[in-house]
Parts: sequence; structure tokens; C-alpha cells
Amino acid sequence: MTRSDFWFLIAIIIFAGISFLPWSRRIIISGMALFGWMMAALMVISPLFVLLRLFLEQRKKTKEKKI
Amino acid sequence: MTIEHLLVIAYLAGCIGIGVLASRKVLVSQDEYWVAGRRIGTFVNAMAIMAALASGGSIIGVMGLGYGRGIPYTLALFAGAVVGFPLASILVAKPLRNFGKFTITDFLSFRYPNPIVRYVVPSIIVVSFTVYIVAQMKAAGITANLLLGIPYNTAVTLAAIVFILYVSIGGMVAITWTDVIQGILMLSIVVGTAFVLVSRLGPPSSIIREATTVAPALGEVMRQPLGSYLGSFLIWMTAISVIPHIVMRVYTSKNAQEARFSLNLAMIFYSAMILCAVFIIVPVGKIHFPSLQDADTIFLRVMASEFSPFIRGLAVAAVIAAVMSTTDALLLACSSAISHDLLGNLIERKLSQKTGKWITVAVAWGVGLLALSMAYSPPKLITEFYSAAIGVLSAGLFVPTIAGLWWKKANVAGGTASLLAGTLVYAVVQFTPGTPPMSAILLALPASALAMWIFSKLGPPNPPEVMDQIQKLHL
Repeated sequence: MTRSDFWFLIAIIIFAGISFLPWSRRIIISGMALFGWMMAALMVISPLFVLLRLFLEQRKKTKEKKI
Repeated sequence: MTIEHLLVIAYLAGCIGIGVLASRKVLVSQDEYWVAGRRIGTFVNAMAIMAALASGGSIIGVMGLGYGRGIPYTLALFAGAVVGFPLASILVAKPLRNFGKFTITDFLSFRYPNPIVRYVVPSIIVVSFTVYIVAQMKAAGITANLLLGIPYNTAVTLAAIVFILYVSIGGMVAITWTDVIQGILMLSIVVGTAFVLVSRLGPPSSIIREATTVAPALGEVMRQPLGSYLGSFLIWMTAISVIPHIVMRVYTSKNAQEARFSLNLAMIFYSAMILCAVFIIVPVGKIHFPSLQDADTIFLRVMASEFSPFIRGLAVAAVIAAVMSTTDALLLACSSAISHDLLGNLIERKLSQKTGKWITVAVAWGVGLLALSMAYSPPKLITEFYSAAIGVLSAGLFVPTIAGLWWKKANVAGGTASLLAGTLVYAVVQFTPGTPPMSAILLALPASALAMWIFSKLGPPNPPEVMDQIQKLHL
């Protein structure tokens, strides 16, 4: 496992852990608990982040091949 | 016959036609039937993965769950699935693609060569997926019932026969082709419906605010015990790495890098669909229909009240597509669990490849008809129902798979004990009265990990040739 993969997993676990803490259930934004908004953010951020990393990884490999 | 009926008939006929065309290719070899010759491209595979995961549960069930249990609870469950994909792409996509077989049982019985593993893993898959298929059939049944006026039992029977027919003849090639069409159709309908509702009623934030004024519980968290929120998140987060119909999609990729791209791209599509459903369609449904008896019918009620017959026809086709794209993948995974994993040695040694293929077809019919008989008495909230069934897969298979790939000391004793401990603890806790829904996984996963650690310490070390092969999977 690469170092960036490892830190990504740690970041996801920390974000999910924070989302499940009691304070996120009490704060209401636009009628919905912050917990719900955080879960929605997680749904968007996590695949986007990995995709971005995969693109960068592939671009780096292509550059290295050219050299 | 109305325009809705015609659209659905044309759509189903198209799917069967694809199955017949594909059958000419897939009878050639096992590689063609199970994993489409391992040459599916990134975008096609991503759409097929999205369609396979986005079941009737994701169109009918996600909105039913949002309506019945609140938006935060629903998002906890589906965020688990979405996070599960990057997790799977990091932890299992590359090594399993490099392993190059057909099923998750192939890997586990290679890593833990023990008859218990060889037979328990496919048995868990069949039980869990049969329950999953029942939920899909309910989605097809209530859709055809509410939007086409066909009696529920007739609709379920017809849908089941079409699904089984084209899976049993077409294998993975047919599934991939139809999944792409189905994925595009369901994504367009859900996102398109949300877009139209927003253009009529205003931005999502004001729709949610209005809906939570009518029904405050829609946006609150404490409607369920905390264990249920955490459990539903964990079940899906861990399931994606081991769930057979997704793992089979990893095997269909051209290479490990494309498998990782496909998994994450699929999740972008999937998240867009779920968020549109939960943030726009559910609140609109709550405003218009605040006290429905069957929460799972909310999407269909909104479609019936807000849209023209042509759009309703497309919506029926989209729901049938969602049900079909998952049911076909589930049926194929069940077939592979029985005919490849359980009877594989017998078929390879004593029967011709063609006879083996016909056994696979018979298995698809057997599982499909069993699920059909159960679907005549449908569950209440389909997403919660099938998620509980998926939990047994997470509980039993997640730790052995991840440890098998990443922990050198995991051995046969540890893998077998972990599989049994996770499965049994989950089953016992799940059926203990008073257990909060979806929370059994919170005990089952630690039990599985503990059993892996203790028994791996006690058992003999792995043969060096097995460890060499595992090492090569990561290169």
C-alpha cells in the first residue's frame, strides 16, 4: 500500500469518526442535522479524491515513460 | 394498452434480445461467461458497477428509507457504500484483479485451503443474495402495480421470469451490455426528476426546509439508536470489498489500474443519483404525501402526481432497470457460488463444459424461483431488509479477505475461525430480540478480527509458496 493510500484511509476514518460524534447530531442546518450533511460530503469527497489521485498517478507514469 | 406499457415491453424485449445475442459468445468459454473475457473498458465497467449496486433498493428503497427513517439515517447507509468503493479500490482491487480467477471464494479457498471455507463461503453468498433478490422483486412488483396497474403477484412473476431468462442465457457479457443501458436510464430518470422538481419548486435547501417544517423527524438523527447508524455505515463500507457481484466486476477489468478507475468513477455516478433522490425527491414526497402506509412507494407517488404518462413510462423502465441490473448480477453471483464454487470440481472433472453451463442455467432458475416464492410476501422497508442480509457477508468475509491479502501471519486456522466467528456472531446477535436494526455488525466484525488474530497465532505458518503468490499479487 502506498503512503498516500494509507493516509487517505486514515483521513476517511477520522472524518467518519468525527461525523458520528454527538455534536454533529445536535446542530441543525436548513432543517437537517449536520451529521446528514457530513455524510453527504463524504459521499462526494471520497471517490473524487481517489479519482484525482489516480489521474495524477497515471500522468506521472506517462511522463516517466516518455523520458 | 398505454404508452407506459409499450415502453416497458420494448425495454424488456430489448434486454432479452441482448441476452440471446450475447449467448452466442459466452458459450465459448468459462472466462467469457463469468468475467466477459476480462476486456471491459473503464467507463463501461464504471456504469455497469453503478448499475449493479444501484438496485431497486437505490431507487425505490433509498427514497422509502429516507421517507420512513429520515434523511441522515439513509445517508449513513449509502455513505458507507460510497466510502466502501475507494476502500475496495485500495485494499482489494489490484491484488484480486491480479489473482485472475472468477469469484471471492476462489481467493479465500486458495488463501485458506480448508473444506469449511470452500463450502461455507458460497453458502453464505447464496443465502444473503437470495434475500437481496427478494427485495428487488418487491421493487419491481410495486412499481408495475402502482404505475402500470398490473396486480402485484403477476408483476413479480413476470419480472422474475424475464430476469432469469436473460441472465441464464447471456452470462456476464449480456449483463454488462444491459447494465450500461440500465445505468444511463436510471441515472437520467432520477437526476432528471430532481432537476425538474428544483426548477418548479426552488433550490434543494428550501425544499428540505419546507419538508422538515412539515415533518421535523425527516432531518433529525435520533429516530434510531446510534448503533443502527454506525452499523448501517459499517455494513456497506466493508461489504463492497467482498460483495461477489462487485468483486466479479473487478475481474472483468482489463487491468488493475482500470479496475480502480472504474470503482471510483462508478461512485461519482452513484452519489449523484442518491443525493438527488434524498435531498430533492424525498422531501417533495414528504410535503405532498406526509403519511404513506408503504414508504417504499414514495418515488412512484411523486412520479404519478407530477409527471406525464411518457415520463412515468420511462420511470417504470428505470426502476425495472435498477431492479434488473442488480438482480441479474446477483443471480449470476449465486450461480457462480453454486456451480463454480460448490460444484466446480465435479463439473471440471466429470462433466463436459456444456453440461456445466446447463447446470449453471438450472441454478439461476432454482435461485430465481426460490426468491420469487419469497417475494409473494414482501418485506416492509426493502433497503433495511437486504442490508441486513448483506451484513452477514461483511461479517463473515471482510476480515478473512483483507487479512488474507495484507497480513502475512493470517493462516488457514485464523481464516477459518474468522469466517465462522464473524458469521455466527452476526447471525446470533441479529436474531436476538431487542437488538437495534443493523447493529449486529458492531459485534461481529471485532469477533471475526479477534478470531483471526488468536487462531493465526495458534495455527501452523503458511507454506512459503502460498506467501510468494500473495506477494506477487501486490506487484
